[in-house]
Amino acid sequence: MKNILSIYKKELRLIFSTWIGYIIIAVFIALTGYFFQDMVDQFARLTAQFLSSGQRGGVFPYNINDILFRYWLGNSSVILLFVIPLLTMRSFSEEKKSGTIEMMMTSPLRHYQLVLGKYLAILTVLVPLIIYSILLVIYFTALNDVPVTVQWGLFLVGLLGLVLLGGAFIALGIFISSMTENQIISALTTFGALLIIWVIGWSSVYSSTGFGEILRRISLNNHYENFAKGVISLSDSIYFILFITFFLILTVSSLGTTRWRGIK
Amino acid sequence: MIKVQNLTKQYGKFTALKDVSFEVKKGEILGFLGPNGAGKTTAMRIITGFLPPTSGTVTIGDYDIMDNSIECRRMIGYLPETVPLYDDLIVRESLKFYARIKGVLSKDINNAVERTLHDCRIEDVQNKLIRTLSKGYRQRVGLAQALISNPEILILDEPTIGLDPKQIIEIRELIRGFSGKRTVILSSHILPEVSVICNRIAIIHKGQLIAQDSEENLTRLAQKGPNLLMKIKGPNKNITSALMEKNFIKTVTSDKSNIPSVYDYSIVFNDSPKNRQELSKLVFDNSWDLLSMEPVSSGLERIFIDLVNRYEEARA
Repeated sequence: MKNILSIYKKELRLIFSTWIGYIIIAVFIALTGYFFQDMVDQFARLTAQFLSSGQRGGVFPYNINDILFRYWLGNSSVILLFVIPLLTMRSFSEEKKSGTIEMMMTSPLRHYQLVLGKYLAILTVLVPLIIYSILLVIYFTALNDVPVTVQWGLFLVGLLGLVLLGGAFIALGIFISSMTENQIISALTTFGALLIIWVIGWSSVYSSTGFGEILRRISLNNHYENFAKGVISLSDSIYFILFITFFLILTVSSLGTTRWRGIK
Repeated sequence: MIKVQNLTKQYGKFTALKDVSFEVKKGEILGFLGPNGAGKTTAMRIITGFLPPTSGTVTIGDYDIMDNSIECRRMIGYLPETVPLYDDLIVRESLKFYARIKGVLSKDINNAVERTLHDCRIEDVQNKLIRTLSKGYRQRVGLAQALISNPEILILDEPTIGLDPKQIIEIRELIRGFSGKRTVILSSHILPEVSVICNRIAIIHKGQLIAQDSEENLTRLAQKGPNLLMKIKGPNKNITSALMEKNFIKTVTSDKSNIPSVYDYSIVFNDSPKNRQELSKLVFDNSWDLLSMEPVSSGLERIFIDLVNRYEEARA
């Protein structure tokens, strides 16, 4: 545990001393902020249409969770898909390139400690993003006296989904980084792999075969969608936990084989 | 303390190390000597547990490096050839990090850092970003990382490379000070360095250990070359025979130099007491001109070249 903590602190320090951490947080905030603004505009338009359509007495048919937050969470997840490969690319590739991996592998550390320390450090970068998302919604509701009720429970489930999704992205990114000493290859391969797992369910929308169903189950997006809607289900949670565990274990064994193959 | 038995390492078809065996006793400093690509780094990587051997065993203390890797690694401080550093950490931070993962107790970490900063003479850069350091400082920070946990065993791959002469002397003094306290294996291609620091020398060539002994014994092992080189202006035949008359001279060979009527004489002494003044007097008395006289020490350099040549001949 002490070793994991030491690696964790060092990694976190490196993520922020190279500015990459700050830049990624800034990019995420800027882009999601823009989308939020855009969606609020749309929401306002819908409200205005409703008000001018003369149905004053009727029930407002739109739910802010459904029409704003859900889509905003969807957008945010796509932005994560872009930025997370940039966070994970250096985790092992840089150590391999600079040779510090030799110091790590000859220190009294177990491979899983190294992997977990790094994983948790990158995961920590998501914390400010989640805090920001909550603040954004608080700010929005406090600013507008439109009688909209935010269903916080649903939104928080969505954020939990975002964290799980980010955690899955990071696990895969770290694994790919452990296989190459080139950071660009690491980032591009991670991005490609994530995108494929993301969209793999799309092609099966109209398919009714068992294979189509399998693809739907594999797809990251499908499981995340439920969280974004505010639905927390056991199978979706297990999917993410298995996904993360699977790639972390692969990373640990990838380090083992690096040792057997030797570097270069 | 370190026992290496029949170590062989193959990368595909290339054999980097072939049946290497040696032992380093507690408190001993062993110098690894060999040309580039001889297998020094591979041997060190196997001893530190970074690479697995193709066959053979390495025992550190009572532990096998493959079976009890963690215990072994805890005892070893290692400076790889490439001096890997975290460029984006501050020197002090980096040392603290290594102290923690090497298992230094939390309450001892600050002391360990202070001691190492002092020993490696890097106190004045302790708050600098490693990225900004010069080659000499980087090398010393690398050494500090190896020393931070006060390890029983030090494996240093080319520890003085990139340092200026004054720093080289300081680091050599530091390493020599470990003699008797720590077990050290260091590699170098600078021969005098090995002879100054090490108790024992292992010469490695094309993956094979071709000799290991103290410098004295290795000197005895090497073939005798010339002991004295003289440059004399005068009649070649007369000079040669006059030199041969001296009872302490075994053989004289002469070569034309690029100056007319000046010859280079390579002289091999026998075991009788030598008298160099007598030689200069001889030249003077015959009114020849002595242009230079240069004793050749039987340095490690020659032993090394000699042993490598002999090895090559034996193979051919």
